[in-house]
Parts: sequence; C-alpha cells; structure tokens
Amino acid sequence: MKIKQIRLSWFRGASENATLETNDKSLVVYGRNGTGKSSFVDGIEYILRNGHISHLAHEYSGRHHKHGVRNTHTPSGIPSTIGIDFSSGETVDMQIEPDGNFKSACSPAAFETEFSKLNFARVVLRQDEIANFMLKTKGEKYSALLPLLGLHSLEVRANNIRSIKSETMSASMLQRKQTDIIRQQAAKDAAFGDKSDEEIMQCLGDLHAFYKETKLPLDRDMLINELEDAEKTIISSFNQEHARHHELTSLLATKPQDVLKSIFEILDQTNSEVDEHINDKLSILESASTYTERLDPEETIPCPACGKKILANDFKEHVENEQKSLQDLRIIYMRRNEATDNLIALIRAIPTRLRTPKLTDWLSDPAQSDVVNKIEQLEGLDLKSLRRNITALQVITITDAITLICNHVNASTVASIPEVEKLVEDKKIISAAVNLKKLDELISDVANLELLESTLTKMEQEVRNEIRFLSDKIITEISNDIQELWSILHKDKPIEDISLHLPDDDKAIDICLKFHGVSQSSPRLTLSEGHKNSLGLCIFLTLAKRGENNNAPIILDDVVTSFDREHRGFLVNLLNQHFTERQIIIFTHDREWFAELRARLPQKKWSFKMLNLWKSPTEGINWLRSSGSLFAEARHLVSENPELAGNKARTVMDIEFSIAAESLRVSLPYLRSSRNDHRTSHEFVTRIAADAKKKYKLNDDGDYVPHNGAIEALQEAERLLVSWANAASHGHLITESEAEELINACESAYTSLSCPECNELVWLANQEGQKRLQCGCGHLRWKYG
Amino acid sequence: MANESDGSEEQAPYDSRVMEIIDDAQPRLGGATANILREIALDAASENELTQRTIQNVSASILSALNRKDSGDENKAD
Repeated sequence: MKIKQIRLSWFRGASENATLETNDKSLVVYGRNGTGKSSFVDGIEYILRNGHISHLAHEYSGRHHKHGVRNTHTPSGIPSTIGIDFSSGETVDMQIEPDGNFKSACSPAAFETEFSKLNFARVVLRQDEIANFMLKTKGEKYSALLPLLGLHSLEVRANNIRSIKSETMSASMLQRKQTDIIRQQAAKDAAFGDKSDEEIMQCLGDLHAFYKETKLPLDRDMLINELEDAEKTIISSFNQEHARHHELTSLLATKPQDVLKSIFEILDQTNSEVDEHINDKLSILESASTYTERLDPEETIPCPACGKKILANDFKEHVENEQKSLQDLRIIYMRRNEATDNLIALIRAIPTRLRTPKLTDWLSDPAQSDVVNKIEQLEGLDLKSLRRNITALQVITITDAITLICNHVNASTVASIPEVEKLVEDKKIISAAVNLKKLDELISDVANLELLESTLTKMEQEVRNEIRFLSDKIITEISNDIQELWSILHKDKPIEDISLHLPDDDKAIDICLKFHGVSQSSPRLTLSEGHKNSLGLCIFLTLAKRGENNNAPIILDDVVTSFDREHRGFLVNLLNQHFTERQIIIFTHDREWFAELRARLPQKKWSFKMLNLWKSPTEGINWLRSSGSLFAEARHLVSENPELAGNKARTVMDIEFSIAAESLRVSLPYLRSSRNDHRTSHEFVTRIAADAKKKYKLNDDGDYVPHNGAIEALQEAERLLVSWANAASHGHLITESEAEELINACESAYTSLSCPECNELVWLANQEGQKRLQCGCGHLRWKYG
Repeated sequence: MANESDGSEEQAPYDSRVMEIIDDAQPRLGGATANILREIALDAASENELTQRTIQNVSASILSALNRKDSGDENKAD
C-alpha cells in the first residue's frame, strides 16, 4: 500500500489547496517549525481515527475539534477536506463541515475495509508520542501497546462481559434477595430456633395431630396446606367473643413495638441523604480505584486531596479503606430501608385488621373513639412520601398513634382465652412454615444467580488469561526484533537483553534490559532521554513491521529530535535494512538530517521536498519552487534579500559538503580542539576539488577519465564561497545577480557529485575490495585510500 | 496440559476453556442461559464496546432464560 498524494483544503494550516505528492516513492519533507508539516500528519490521523486528533483532544477544540481542525480563515460555508489517494487508484476523502461534523467516502467502497483497518499508531509515529510512551506507567504502556499487539478486541470482549455481569446482577436484584434470605432465615430461627428439618417436621406433625384427625401427610407442603385449612376452619367456628379476642391478640402478636423500636434505632445512625452521598462517593472511588491499577506501587503521586507526595501503594490502600467504609454505610442504609418498609407495612396492617367486620362492635364502642381517631390518622398518611424520606418527627407521631392503639388492644385482651391464644401462637409456627417454602425457592434462585455471576466472572477471567497468554507469546517474538533494531541504532552500546515483559499485576507491560550487565526492570532507571526515545522508536517500528497491515506506509513525524547526529545516521541504516519494501514518509525540521538523508538514501526510491515559510492562514501551506532542489529556499529569497539568500546557500553547502567529505573519505588537516567541528563548506569544497583531480572519474565509452566538469564546478563554487558567501554571512552587501550566481555555482558543485544517468550520488555504493565508491549505475567512480 | 515432548506447558485453546466453564454450569443454569453465555463468550464481532442499551437487552435475555429454566418450561417453544 503506497500513498500517492495527500490533499488538504482549509484543514489545519492549509488554505484552499495543499497537496503532498510522493511520486509513489518514500519521501522526506523538510520544513521549519510552523511550515505545516504536521497538518498532513493530522489529516491522516483525522481519517484513521475517524474524526479524532489526539493533540486536539482538549477543552478548547470544541465538539469534533471544530475549533481546531478548520483553518481560521476558511471562507464562510466552505467545508474543510482531507483526501488520500493511493497508488492503487483507491481514494479516501473526508469532508468536515463548519460545525465539525464530518463524513467520509472511499472509492471503491470495498477499500474502506482495508484502509480503515489500519491502526494509526502502527502507521504514524510522532516524537512526542514516543517520548510520552516511555514515560508512561506500566499500566498505561499496556493500554497503549495492546491495540498494537492486535489484542484490543479481546480487551473489549472482557470489558463487555464485565458490563453484562454487572447489569445482570443489578437487574436480578441479587443483593436484595440475599438480604431477604437473611431476614427470612432470622424469621425461621425465631419460629423454630435451631431445630433441624426433621425436628421442624416433627413440630408441624404435632400440630397436625392436634388440629386434624386425618392421617399425617408425607409431604411437608401438603402438611402445611392442611394446617392452614385447619386454622381457617377453627377461626370460622369462633363465637363473636373468641373472634374478637383472636383478631386483637393476632395484632399484638405482630409485635408493633419492636417495629417502632427498630425505626428509632436506625434513624439515629443515618439520614435520608446518605444513599446519594454513598453513591457519589462510590462512583468517585470506582474511578480512583481504576486509576490506582495503572500506578506503579513504588511511584509517588500527588495526593488528590491534599497535594502531598504519597506512595501509590498508600493511595491504593486509602481508596480501598474508603470503599469498605462506604460499603459498611450502605449496609446501615439497607437496614434503614428495611425498618421503614416494616413500619409502612404496620401502618397499613393496623387499620386493615381493626376494620374487619369481626371488630365492628369493638370499634363502635365509645371507649375506643381514640382508637378510631388514630386509625384515621394512620390512614391519612402519605406512605410513598414516608418511604422516600421519613423524619424523626413523623416517627414520633406515628409511634404515639400506634402505642395508643396497642394500649387499647392490650386492655381489651386482659381476660385470657387459652384456646384462642394457643391458636395465635401456633399460627406463628404455621406462618413460618409457609415461609419455609418461599425461603427454599429464594435460596435456589440466589444460588442460580450466584452461579451465573461466578460463571460470567470466570468467562471474563478466561478472556484476560487469553490476553496474557497471547501478549506473552507476541512480546517474546517481538523482543528479538526490538533488540535487533536497537543494535543497529546503538552499535557497541553495552545494553542488551531488551525485552517487553508482563509483570505479575494484571493489565501491565514494561520493558526490561541489561545495562552494563546489570538487569533493569525499567529503562527509566538508567537510560538517557535520547536512548529512551530511541528504544521507544525501536518498539514502535517493530510493531509497525508486524501484523496484517505490514505493507502500510510508515510516517515518522520529527522522530529524531532527541537523537545526536551519529544516531540519526544509524536510523537511516535501520530504514534501509528493515523497511526497504515499505513506503516511508519522514517529516523533519532538522536541516542537517534532511541533507544527510538526501545524501544517503537512494534517489530511485526516495524523493525530497521542502516547505516554504508559512506566512498567513489565507496563503496556507506552500512548497518551495523547485522543491526538489537543496537550494530552493535560498533561491526563493534572492529578490527579497540577496544577503540572506547567499547565506542560506552557504549553510546548505556547509552541511552537504561536510557529509560529502565524510562519504568520499576525504582527508582533512587536523585542527586543534573544537575547530574540527567548525569547518566551513569552503574547506570541504577545496579539499574535495583537489582530490577530485586524481580520484573522481566518469565512464567515457568504457574508459574512466577525470571528471573535468565536476572539477570545474567545484573550483567555481570554491571561488565564490570565499568571496560572496563570506561577504553575505558577515553582513556585507551582495547584489541579486551575485547571489544568483553563487547559488548556481553551489548547486552545480553539488550536482556534479550526482550521476546524470541514474541520479544517485557517487558514494551510493562501496566496493570495499577495490577501495572505490560509485553511483547506482557505475557511470561515476571515486577512488579512495 | 503438559507437553510430553519438551516438558513445557501448553494452554488449551480459549474457546474450549470457556466452553468448559459454561458446560459445567449448564445443568444448573439451563440450556437457554448457557447458549446465550456461549454467544457472549465467542462473539467474534466484539470489536466495539457494547452500548448500555445492548447490555440491558442481553442481561434481560439471560434473566428471562434463567427464569424459564426455573419454571421448568425452557424447552417449550417461545
């Protein structure tokens, strides 16, 4: 897959039209800071991340980055566009409306799948992303690398299973049912004590024998049914006095005073705002807990509460304690809800029980007029409102009413009727027995839900096991590649055994290595800034080589900022050795590296472009005319500022001819101390021109003869560099035509080192045995040694 | 399981490991619930995080299947 061109219109720094053409080759783009290089990278990111650009993800960019992606001077109503044309003929286009909404189109449509599968992080490497990656915690490294290892979909699956589990358990009211079991178990214990099932059956059998004369049924449920029937029969046979006594005693058997006592106790411990408070706190702690998983336990972090530096482990412990304390509080709140529910049930039950026809006479007795008033008071309560928020004052009022009613009921049941009272006591056992069946069903239901929960937990864990297994396998494979790439960038550096590894904690990846023979668990312990970034680059380039899309272009945006000259040079070797079949697009603001790449990369596969200074939003991004020429920038300045143009030309010559002298192995006289590093182009050109007379040959019908044209060009450049270029760089005036002549001479001198047949520089190939350099086709030769 | 030839440990494929977990639970959860869990475990299209609505629908299906099992009519036609 090769990018043919990237088209921008009113996107980021581009005005109406800015096109980056690759000519189907790899490409190096040079531009000073702010010339618009990154606009092209942003365009690719916007398409690959479906309308998202990481460095624009902040509060000021607005919805869909609408304040960031569009050129500030875009004419009203005009959309911004990004287009990528591929060498295969396919295209991808994105149109961004003024409100930030966007739509994409691919041609042909089927291509969308191939292109959209590309992982941005495998295609584009930016300097700041590499630096940031190396500084990330092992948890953040895990999140960054997982998609690149091709395991993101498994992580999504694990998260989906966790979400389904959480929702299912919440919808099933498992927690509520578990509490119900505890409550019903307590009711069972109250009725039957610590009796075994056999003893309970014996107890029910005794009751059956007392109330029924028929044969004892075998099944517990049938036994209970028969007892319920018997109880109803007896109650229906009561005379009026017994019936009244039964109703009143039954009411007292519900122990209204206990219900009132519970609500008072629990109101002392909590208030109505507690649940909201707990929910808020728990959601904050949930986020904090997720955050702590990403922290290195030994790392110090600023405490979110007080700002003091604390160990991550201490912070984690603090979060866990807070979570536990809130969970305890929630249990208290659940008890409060339960006590409120019981009170409301009592408020409903008392009027219902007392308004039964069996108590009509009792209630119409003038002595019970206060009871009637209190019943009416209870009936007038807004129970929904009470359930939401019950106050202590309301509880006191309700307690007064219920207590008065209970006192009257007590007074009316002073005279004992033993058979009625036995029935009321036995009824408690029968009711508890009825609840046994419900309890069994509840226990079975909860057991199923708990099994479901544990099955979903195991399923999620299996996905995580799979992620770990595959991560382990992949990172073992890629660790060798990382070490190999590192070895190219850092020959003879005593850093070895570089590998990614999975620490014991979940969701973590780190990098370990041996530094001067000593094992290190993180590169942050010993490596310099430049070496860390270099290691990060090796990791990402290794991952870019892997996977299904290992033919996709690789885009490197200013990735060598922290590299010294030597390592920038080794990066060229790395690209030449490992990425010969890939299209690579390099953006750089480093003039020297641009020159080096131009000198060392084969022209057949690489092209070179330079961006002009970006002047205004309406002018936008523009390329230097004759962008392929090293001297385009200098030429551009000739009419405007001849001195600056001359100086630019000399700067280009300083860089290019230092590389040329090194590549041609030209010996230079030794200078003391740092003066060796401050040589100028004049010295290089002089020595190269002198050596060229003996060493530089071109093929003339099979014979290699001195390259006189090149020698003349070099000598002319040498002459003008001494006179006009020195004048220009020291602030003296030179004319427009002098600047033009100087640039022409410099360009001719530089061009004379390239082959007119194959366009490659004379030092492209090295025939070491013959101590000879030559261009790609052998037309030019340089004998060294 | 142990690889007899070199003594190294080999892991059973994910699919079979997760199926074993669901198979073990099936007698108590019922066939319908187990089938939904199998779909979740092997959903090859899980490239994106599920929406809350989808999660709620899946959850409702699971509970419905579990209840059908409890009421003993999970094999009846819907």
